[in-house]
Order: sequence, then C-alpha cells, then structure tokens
Amino acid sequence: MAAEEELKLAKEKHVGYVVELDNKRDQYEYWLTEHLRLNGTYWGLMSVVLLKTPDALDKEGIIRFVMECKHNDGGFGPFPRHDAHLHSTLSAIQILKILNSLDLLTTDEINKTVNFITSLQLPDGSFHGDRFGEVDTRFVYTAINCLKLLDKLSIKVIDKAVEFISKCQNFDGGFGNCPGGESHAAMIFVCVATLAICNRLDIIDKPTLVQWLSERQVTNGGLNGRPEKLPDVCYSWWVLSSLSILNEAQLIDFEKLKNFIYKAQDTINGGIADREGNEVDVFHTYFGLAGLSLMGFDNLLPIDPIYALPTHLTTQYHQN
Amino acid sequence: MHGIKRTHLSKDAKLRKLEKDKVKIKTYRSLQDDVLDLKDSLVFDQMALDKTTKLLDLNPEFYTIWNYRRDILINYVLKDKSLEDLKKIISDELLFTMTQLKKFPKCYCIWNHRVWMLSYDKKISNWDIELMTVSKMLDLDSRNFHGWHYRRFIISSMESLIDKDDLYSLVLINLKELSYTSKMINRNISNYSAWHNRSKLVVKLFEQLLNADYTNILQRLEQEKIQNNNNNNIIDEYINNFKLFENLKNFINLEIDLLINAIFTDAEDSSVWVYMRWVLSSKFFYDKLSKDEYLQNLNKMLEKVEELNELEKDDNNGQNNPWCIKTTTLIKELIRKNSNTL
Repeated sequence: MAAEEELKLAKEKHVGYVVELDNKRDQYEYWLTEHLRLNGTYWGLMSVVLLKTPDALDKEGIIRFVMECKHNDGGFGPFPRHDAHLHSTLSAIQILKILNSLDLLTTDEINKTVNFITSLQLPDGSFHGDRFGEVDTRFVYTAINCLKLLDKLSIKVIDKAVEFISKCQNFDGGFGNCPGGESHAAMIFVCVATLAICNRLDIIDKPTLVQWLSERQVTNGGLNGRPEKLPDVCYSWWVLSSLSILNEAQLIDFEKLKNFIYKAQDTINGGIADREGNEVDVFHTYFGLAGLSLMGFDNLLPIDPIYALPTHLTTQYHQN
Repeated sequence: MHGIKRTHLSKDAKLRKLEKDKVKIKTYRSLQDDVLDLKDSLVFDQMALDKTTKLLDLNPEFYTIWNYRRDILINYVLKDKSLEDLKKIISDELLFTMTQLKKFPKCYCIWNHRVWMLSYDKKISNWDIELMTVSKMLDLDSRNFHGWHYRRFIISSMESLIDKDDLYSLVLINLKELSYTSKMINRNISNYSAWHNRSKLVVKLFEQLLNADYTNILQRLEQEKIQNNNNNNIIDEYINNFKLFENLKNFINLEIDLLINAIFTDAEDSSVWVYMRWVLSSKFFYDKLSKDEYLQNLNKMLEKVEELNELEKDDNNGQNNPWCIKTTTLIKELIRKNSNTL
C-alpha cells in the first residue's frame, strides 16, 4: 500500500469501471443482480455525474431502459418483467431528474406513479415497499423523496409519515427500520432526510443524535453504521449526509475519512469496495464518491445530502 | 461487495471462470424465463411452485419470484385447506426459508417471506418454536439486525394473541425478554443490539405496569413457580425482575450497578457508555426520582467514572480514556443544572 500522502482518487479508473458494468453479460453475477439493475443504473449514473463525466454513459439507452421498467400501474420495477417496487421507482424518477427528462412522463403517467406510491401508505403512516408489504423506514424515504421530485407531496401524506417516523426514535437519538428497531446509520439517514423534506427536523433529539453519529468514526478513519461494528465506505454517505443535514458534518475528521475511502479503491480496475482489500461494486463506488463530494474533496460535483442528487438540481427545494 | 476479498484473477483463471459461467448462465436464464412466463400467464400450481423453489435456491434476492411464490401459495397451495394441511404447508415453507437463511442470514427477502408466512394466520403458528429458532440464530450472530427485528416481530405477534385484559401474560412475555437481553449482555457486554432491546423493554414494562395490581401478578408468578416444581431458577429471575418494577428507584440502582460493573469490565466498549448516557440523562428515569436521589446517583457514577479513568491512565502511559472524559463532562453538566434549580 502506498504511503498516505501518495493516495489519490483514481478518477479515470472509476469512470471506466462504471462504463464497463453493462459489458459483463458473460459473468454469472451480472444475471444474478437484475433485481438491482435500475438502482445500479442510478448509482452508476450518479458516480459519473459526480466525477463530472456525465456523457460517459449512453443517456438515450438509459432512458429507454427506465421506460422499459415502467408498469401500467405507474410503478417501476428494477428490470423489465420484475415487479414494481418503491425502491426502483425512486431510482427511475431520480434518473429521469438527473437526465432532465421527467417531462417524458405524461400527466396521466405521473398521476399513476403518484397513485402507485400513495396506495402503499398504511394507516399508521408507514409504507409497504411493494404489494407484499415489507414495512420499513427506507420505504418512507423512497416514497416521500419520489413524491417531492414529482411535485406531488401532500400535507396528508407528510403528517402520517412524520407520525410514523417519530415512533421509530430510540434512546440513543437514532432511528430504526420500524418502531422498536435498533438505530442504524442507514435508517437514520432515511428518517432524517424524510424529516428534512417534510420540514419537520424539529422532532429530532438533535444533541443526542449528533453525538451518536459523530461517534461512528473509528480509529482507521472509516465510519461504521452501528456501535462496535466494522467501518464501511457506504456509511461515508449514510452518516455524513445525516450530519450534513443537521449542519454538524465538521464533527467528522474529513482527512482520515478521505484516506479510508481512498484505500478501499481498486486502483487497477477502478471501483471502490466497502473497505480496503475487498471486492468493489457500484453501490460502494457511488457512496464513496458521494462521501468525498459531501466533504468537498477532489473537485467533485457537490451532492445534496437530502435528495442524493447534484445540488444544482435541488436548489428550488431549499428556497423556503 | 460486503466483506468479499478482492482477487485479481490470472488470464487463465478468468477464462476458466467464464467457461463455467457460460453453463450457469444458460441454466439460470432458461429457468428464469420459464418462471416469468408462468407468472405472466397466472399459472398457480405445484409445478410452478417447485420451479420458484429451484430459482430462489439459485437467487434468493429475486423478490419478484418471492412475490409470485406467495401468489401461488394464496391462490392454490393454501386454498380451501384443512387446519392440519395448513399447518403442514406453513411448516414446509418455514423449513424452506430456514435452509435459505442458513446460507444467506442477511437477505431481506427470505426474512420477509418468513414473516409473511407466519402472519398468514397468527393463531395457528407455533410462536414458541419461532422464539427458540431465532435464539439459535442470534447465538450464531448476536448482532444480526434481521434476527433482532424478527425476534421483536415474534414478541409482538405473541402479544397480539393475548387478551387485552390479561396483563399477567403480557408482562410475563416481556419479563422473559428482559431476562433474555440480560443473558445476551452478560455473555458479551459489547452487544449493543441487546442494550437497545433492553431500553425498549424497560420503558414498555413500566408502561404496562403503571396501573397494575402488583400483588395479583406476583401471586401468579409464585403459582407458576410451584407448578414448575419449585426449582425453576428462571422463574425466580422473573420474580426478582418483576419486583424491581414496583419501585423505579430500586430498578435504577440496579441498572447503575450493572453499568459500573460493565465499564470496569471493558472501558473501551461504546455500547455501555451510550446506554449509560440514557440512564443518567433521560427524563424517563429522573422524573421519577427526587432531586436528592437523582444527584446522589449522578455523584456515585461520577466518582466511579473518575476512578476508572485513573486506572486507565495507569495502564496507558498517562493517557485519559476518552469515554471517561466525555461522560465525566456530561455528569458534571447534569449535576450543575440540577443543583442550580434546587
């Protein structure tokens, strides 16, 4: 391993890695991950966008693929013929937003998508991920973010969602996946970001939560998602975005975290792993870059910690 | 990918993998197309179910296929069945997911399917067996997020089957859970998931017992002990725990002793310090104490934390333990705030 001062971000390698992702049809793993293809497309697209090389990917091809994933009920699946799900629906809407192509959806289609999302909200304010009903705070975020991007977020939906999220708060200030669930940095991000979209950050026990989040940095600089767990590059996003939303990102040692992310890179073939020495994937590549972007390193495009989109696409949401 | 070591294959090894992948891809894609065709044609029969078993065996993350499997179960397998048959079908389905969970203990889809199957008719599911099963899984990985979530699902399902007026049974379930978290903490004080569960159970038990007839519940616990031939230690533990809830002061004192013991066992473990912050500063606790009692507890803890830091300094060339310093600051701040308002 190179000395720390020699570490740097292998930008071109990462762009190359993302571009090559769709050329791996001769590998078994490519077929086993179809259920994440649309999400993966969002992660890959955001990676090249943050690296300021948006044209590295075929825009028309991506839009065609997104449309192929759309169901008649307005929801999107992660791949043609896969069932519609809130998670892939958010990815679809985010991709169209990034590519400035939301107007490809007709008013009727948008209404259907909105119905698909709102029909998954339960009386207690939570959301089912799809028709077979796993309930999780992750789906509250995907639903609320999606509705906001479509300019269709109503007070009724907000009030119930906030009510549900308030029940997921814990003794340590954090949030779990449902009432009773243990605090987890990814669940904290989805809850804090949802509350930010809904303008209801006031329900958070901020000092307690901020302290807990700031304690996620371990001695090698990486962040973990729960106490006494190993650090992982993806928490560079989940923890740091939550702290950014709460205006407390400075509690993390940026230099140490940057080096932790750098060390997780594959500098030969590109891509970033969960931690040094492990296999890379597009999920960790994106969240590593997103973390670096939040910290202002490497001249990356700035990312919005609430919407997980480039900030120039979200200025309108921050005006009130 | 989470926790998978990076390997750069040699050219030869890469070619060999691609050769093998070619066969695997062919089998997988043909099975996948087959199942998706059946799904599109709304075929709900045994053959289709068996094919989803095969496909999910190859790829348990394929949630669309789990959805289709549920469609088959609802529209065909479970339809118009006798109670005995239903029990058998549910137990087969649980067996299938258990085989899968052994290979993929962190796969959301599998846990989700298990929850769905058990929720199909909560009255006929065997919750005691489920509780034993999840205990075994948590023995293998005591921090498994899914496992703990599943455990709370089992408890809330058991609670949902109890008559609202039957406070004794509700309390007993949660006393048992409190003993379980104590057991997990004693086994490894660094188990934050167990500390978290404890925080939930403590609040829940207090709320349940707010207007309860303590004597009556205690009598029933004693009867339970007699029925269990008088030599059941675990019921003694429930009885002791139950008695603590009669008086919050006793409970807090015991909790503070537990915490002191824990920090002296491992001063670096963050779980204990976070839980301690809650016990010392939460309104839930201090609202139930007089100012004097609260200050007494804070001073006791301050003394112990400072004592621990001195020991830590002796062991670490004069270096302070950051958790001790942080907690000392917090306690001093709490003492200052509460002394001012006397």
